[in-house]
Amino acid sequence: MRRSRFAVFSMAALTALALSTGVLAQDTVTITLMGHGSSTAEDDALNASVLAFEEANPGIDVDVQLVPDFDTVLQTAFASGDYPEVFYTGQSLFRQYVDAGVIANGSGYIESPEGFYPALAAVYSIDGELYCPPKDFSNLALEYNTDYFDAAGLEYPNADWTWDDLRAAAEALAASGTLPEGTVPFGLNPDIDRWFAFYVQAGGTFYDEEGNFVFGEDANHDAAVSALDFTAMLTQDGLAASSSDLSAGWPGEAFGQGKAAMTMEGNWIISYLNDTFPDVNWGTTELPAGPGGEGTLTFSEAYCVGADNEHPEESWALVNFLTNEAGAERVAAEGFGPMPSREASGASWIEAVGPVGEAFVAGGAYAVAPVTPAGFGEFRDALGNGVGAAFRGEEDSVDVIDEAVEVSQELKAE
Amino acid sequence: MAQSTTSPTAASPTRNATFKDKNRQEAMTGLGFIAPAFIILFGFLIIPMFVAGLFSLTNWDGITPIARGLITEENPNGAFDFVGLQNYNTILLQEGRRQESFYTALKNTIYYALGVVPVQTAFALVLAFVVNQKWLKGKGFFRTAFYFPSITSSVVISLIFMWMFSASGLVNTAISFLNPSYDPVTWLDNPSGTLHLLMNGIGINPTRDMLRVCDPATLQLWGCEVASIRLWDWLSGPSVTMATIMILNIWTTIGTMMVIYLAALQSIPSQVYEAATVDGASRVQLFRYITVPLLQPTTFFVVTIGLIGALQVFDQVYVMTSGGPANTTLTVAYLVYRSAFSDSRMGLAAATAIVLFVIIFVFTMIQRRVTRESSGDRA
Repeated sequence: MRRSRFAVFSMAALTALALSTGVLAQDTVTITLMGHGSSTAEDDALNASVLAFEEANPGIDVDVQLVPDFDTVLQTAFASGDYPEVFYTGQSLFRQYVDAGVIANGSGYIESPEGFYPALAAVYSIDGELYCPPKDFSNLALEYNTDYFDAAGLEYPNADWTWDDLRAAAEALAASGTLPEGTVPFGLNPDIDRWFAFYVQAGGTFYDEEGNFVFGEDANHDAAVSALDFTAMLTQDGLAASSSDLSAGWPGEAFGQGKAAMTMEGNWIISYLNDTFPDVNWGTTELPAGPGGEGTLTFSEAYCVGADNEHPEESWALVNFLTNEAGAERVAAEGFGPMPSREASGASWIEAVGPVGEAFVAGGAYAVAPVTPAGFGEFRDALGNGVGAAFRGEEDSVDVIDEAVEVSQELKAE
Repeated sequence: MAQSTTSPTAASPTRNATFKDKNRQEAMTGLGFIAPAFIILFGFLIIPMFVAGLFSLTNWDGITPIARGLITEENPNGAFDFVGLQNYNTILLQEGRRQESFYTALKNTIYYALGVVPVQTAFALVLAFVVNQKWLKGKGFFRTAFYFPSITSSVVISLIFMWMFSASGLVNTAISFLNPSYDPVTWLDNPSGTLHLLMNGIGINPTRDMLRVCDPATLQLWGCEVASIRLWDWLSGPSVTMATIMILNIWTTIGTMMVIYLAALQSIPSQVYEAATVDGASRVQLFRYITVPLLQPTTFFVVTIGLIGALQVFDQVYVMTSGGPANTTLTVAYLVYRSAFSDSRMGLAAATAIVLFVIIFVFTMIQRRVTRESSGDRA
């Protein structure tokens, strides 16, 4: 008897629960926002923004999922067909995801797309249509240790510098005898996401007008070779060294530890140095210009809306809330590592992070995204290994570039 | 009542029926007992293997939702198309970058296995023999100490090794202390092959120009490409960085192997040793002629699981080097991951995984044959 009464009671409770969730489900729409965790402050700010959005839109519930190993998790979610409504997309994966047909076209949905940096909007556009509004971005700039320059009696690097000035300053630092033992003038990794900056400064381009990948081909060949010659010579002459040679995890750490007088990193280095090495005195300026003029690299992410999506209106409402002018101002005011993706908010960001931010914002005007086509992992490996070998003096620059171009053509033909 | 009406002749079919029922009941019980294991095996092993085999025949990118199905004229937005054995051809036979990657990974993996398996087996045997000695004090401590690396997360150990082997880490500091003229080695970012270094040491040092030439007539063979890799590069040996990972893996797996050997050692009856001692065998002879032969089946087991583990090495590479420098720590298992997730070629990745499976299978069979023959000789 007791058992059956219990059963009736629990059945009733379950029915009530089912009914109530059914009623609730009619009223609110739940959309999932998936991304990777950043700093705690950044994650908190995102959650606060989402909370503000939910308050302004009582009918929409946002489930924020910040997962480790995000790209792999997202990719498996795509493959299963059951994937989040809104997700981060890095610049190198955007084309691949569009090709796979999992990203919705945002043209017509995105609020005031003209306010984004043109270079950023171009990364996430296909045939002039903006698919995903850029979330935020980082540029490379030159960081220098002011104490080392003072000790050697040298002028600080400035925005008018060229490759020759960089090399001359590195030589002067090395010759001055004022650097501590084991410190090199320049911290530089044989990493193509740094080295491409020299390629761009030498006048190299990644895509032609038809959108074909043209690294190192035709006119770009000389640019690639001269960029590799310049950087390899810096390393072989002992003026530059990689972070592993300096026993640091990355060049920013080597710079913070005082093992490199200069390095080139993105704006993520600002909060890193402030938090981890508060005693280091340092400044920033734009990267030196090469024979092809000014050039820096940009790294960005965007909010994309899934193509198989039952709630596109609500998804776009969320994405616009996070990336419109007000959203960009919120990113700027917090002064995180990455910069807001709208030009208008650059000044607020500099205000938040201080004058070291100027060089990064200035680079936004001419920055290039080092994006290789989908499935070009083999090319990146081949070029990365080749750049490493050239830095160590094991291979000639021309051979490295020729080999990389060969791989690129082989992949294009696939 | 029923019994009385049943004739004696009808009784035997009834008894047969109950017997059958019992038989069937037993079968059902048996099936019921193996069902959980069978379902798990089927769901998590057999189906995935079958699906991987199927994917290896497609050009699926691993991103497009699989439910979109086959690409056809009516369904141009499908997820995949069958390409037959194209993926196998690309990695195994067709000259080019992908073939080079595969054979580089295979070369690295084989050098890795050749280095790791014998060393860890030998060390494990010696350690087990030592901690099994009656005269040893603090046996429990030593057994725990040697087993400890095996029960620690490989990711944590990899990170500790990264600190120890960094350019100014513990290892370099210690060597510098012992030998002040030592030029610090960058262990974790050093693509030079250890065999190359040995050959350079004895004067075999082909110049860059010699590596470009392949002319069998004049015996200039260093530049000859076999499977898109130059002969000289085939003979590189594991790179210094790979050797570091090998040391790490030997250190972590010795404990497990030692415990297996220890269990086997303790099952060798002491009478055998006593008899041999009476016959005048020395300690070394006891080890060589009693212990090692009686451990033959255990050795087979240890070498087999060691070999399989070595051919599948992944996590240390993932944590420490991502396949670099210059692809010298790229292993086949890591290549599978790389093609699937950073190269978006799930079909190619599946084909590579299947080839890896076949390689492991063949190696294990060869090793089994060799072990059996050597034990046969002794018998």
